[in-house]
Amino acid sequence: MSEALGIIWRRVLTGALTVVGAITLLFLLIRFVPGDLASILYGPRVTDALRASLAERMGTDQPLPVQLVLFLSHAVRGDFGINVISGRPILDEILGVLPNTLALAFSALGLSLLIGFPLGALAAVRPGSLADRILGVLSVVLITTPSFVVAILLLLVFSLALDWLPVAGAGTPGDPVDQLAHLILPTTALAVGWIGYLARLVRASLLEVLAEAHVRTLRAYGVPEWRVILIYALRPALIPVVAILGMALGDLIGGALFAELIFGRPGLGTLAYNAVVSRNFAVVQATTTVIVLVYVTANIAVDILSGLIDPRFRRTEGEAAR
Amino acid sequence: MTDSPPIALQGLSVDFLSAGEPPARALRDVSLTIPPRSIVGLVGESGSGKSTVAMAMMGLLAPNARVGAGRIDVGARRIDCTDGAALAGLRGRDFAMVFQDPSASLNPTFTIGAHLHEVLRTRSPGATRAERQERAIEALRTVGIDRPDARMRNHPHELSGGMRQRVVIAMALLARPRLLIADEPTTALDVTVEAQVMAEIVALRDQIGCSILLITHSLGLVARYCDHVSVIYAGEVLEYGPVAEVVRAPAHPYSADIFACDIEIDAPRAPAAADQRFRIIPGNLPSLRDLPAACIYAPRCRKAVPACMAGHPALLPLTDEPERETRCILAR
Repeated sequence: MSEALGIIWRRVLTGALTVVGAITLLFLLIRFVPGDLASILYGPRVTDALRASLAERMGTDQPLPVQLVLFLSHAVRGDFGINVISGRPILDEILGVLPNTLALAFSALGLSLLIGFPLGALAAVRPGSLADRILGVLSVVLITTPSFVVAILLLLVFSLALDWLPVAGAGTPGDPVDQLAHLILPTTALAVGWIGYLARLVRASLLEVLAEAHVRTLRAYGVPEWRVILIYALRPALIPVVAILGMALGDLIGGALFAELIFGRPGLGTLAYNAVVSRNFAVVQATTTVIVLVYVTANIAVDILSGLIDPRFRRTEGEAAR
Repeated sequence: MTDSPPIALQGLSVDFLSAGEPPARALRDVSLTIPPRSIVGLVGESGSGKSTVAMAMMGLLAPNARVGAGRIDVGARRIDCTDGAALAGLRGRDFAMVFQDPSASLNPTFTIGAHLHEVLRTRSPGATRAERQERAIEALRTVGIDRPDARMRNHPHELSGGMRQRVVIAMALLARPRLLIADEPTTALDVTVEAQVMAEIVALRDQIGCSILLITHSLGLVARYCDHVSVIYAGEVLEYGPVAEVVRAPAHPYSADIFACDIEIDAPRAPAAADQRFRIIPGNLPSLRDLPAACIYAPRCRKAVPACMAGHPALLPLTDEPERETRCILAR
């Protein structure tokens, strides 16, 4: 057990390094974006004095390395500074909308698994059947249709034509039914591609495992077929699926940012988008940092999950680190 | 057990289908008799169909295989080999199996204990978890695994190849089958481990009184462990009989030729083999998609006469040794 904790600890440490590296890179990249907050805020009336006072309030008058160190040292303590436009602490603004974004990304992940997994498993159990062939075509369609197209189609059909579901927003806070109603369309739009992708992955993975010798061993000892598939073949088949989940979540958070713009949902996406448009660097930095954190955390969770499923993974990780 | 009738495989034929080609007739009219508590060797070179015999008996053939005919007599039951559900009913109860590659034959994501519990869940559905645990540990101890209670919690990759093969033998011990099919159980193991694993398989026979069908290409193993041997070539049994008799005086030229190739068996008997070091049989296996109406071995046979090409010979008893059978017309 202590060995497992050591591996997790090392994983968290490399995760922290990843976060610092990503933040530094993003920090520098943002500076290459032309334009500045002062010109955008004040338009043609901008003067050098206004620009200098704004730069001083935001700290952008300092040399870049100093800015980076200041940002990192404050960020570690959870302090992302004050949004100069709204006058509110940036962390409060992020925490206010983060649940909306996470709810969207996780519900899309959940929906993809809920539909994609059983579809893929069914196709693997009956390869070449009609259902398998339909899935083969359907999954390609699902994967190749861009989610913004799906989003607009869903809006046109379910919000405008049928008027079943709301068009925009995240729902009234404290009203779970209303919030759920606002979640359905963006979740579906986001999940469509991953449903197709996960279905294909699960099918391929399970088919491969079902052809392995250990499955034959259990059959040779008279283990009922449903136990062979649902218990003994499914677990090793999960390994590549779990490995992709970290990437899936990262992709879905990225997708959520776009979905928020299309569906007018308050969230990290709308926050980051408005900040980029107004060159509000402090807010852009803070939101990207939070996204990197979520992504790295998700990948650590995936690694731990992989270790729980596949004991060989634990050992190779441990030996690689030694 | 000794007075129970032998397990008999009768007239098994298997084709492999592939698109755009005539079917490969992998097995044709294969029959085997496995007396109670005996070890029968099924010996043949790669591609002879010996593993296909095992998989057909277990009902575990690949999806592109078609069983044309065949019957298995087990006790008073007669099982049709084309009836997959009937064969499935034999698995884990009447038949069990030890496989060639122990590194792949256990599930890497489950513990040794999970495998043994699963066998017992099928074989003794009434047993409690604690009873199963006790019997599983006992089985591991019986097959020579030390600290069996600790091994129960190990995963397959933490064990050596020999140990993993012992685990599968322990599974067989718990399944208590009438027949254990051992498909090249030691091919993937090194020679020192081979003897240990074979000793465990023989011990298993002694303990639960099952018969064993030992599928191998090693004539050394056949000579050392088997009571009877069936020689299979290109999907046909060419000779069957007690091992001592078959080795002493092969009744089919193919048997004689493969014994001549095997230095281990041959050394004390034929000094010529020592000179030549490695003897080979000229020619290749015939195509299974286009079989002649003749003796299957005739094109490679040193003793072939025109009559060998005149028709396909049946597997018949020798006139003066009725417990032996051969397809060679020259031996009658």
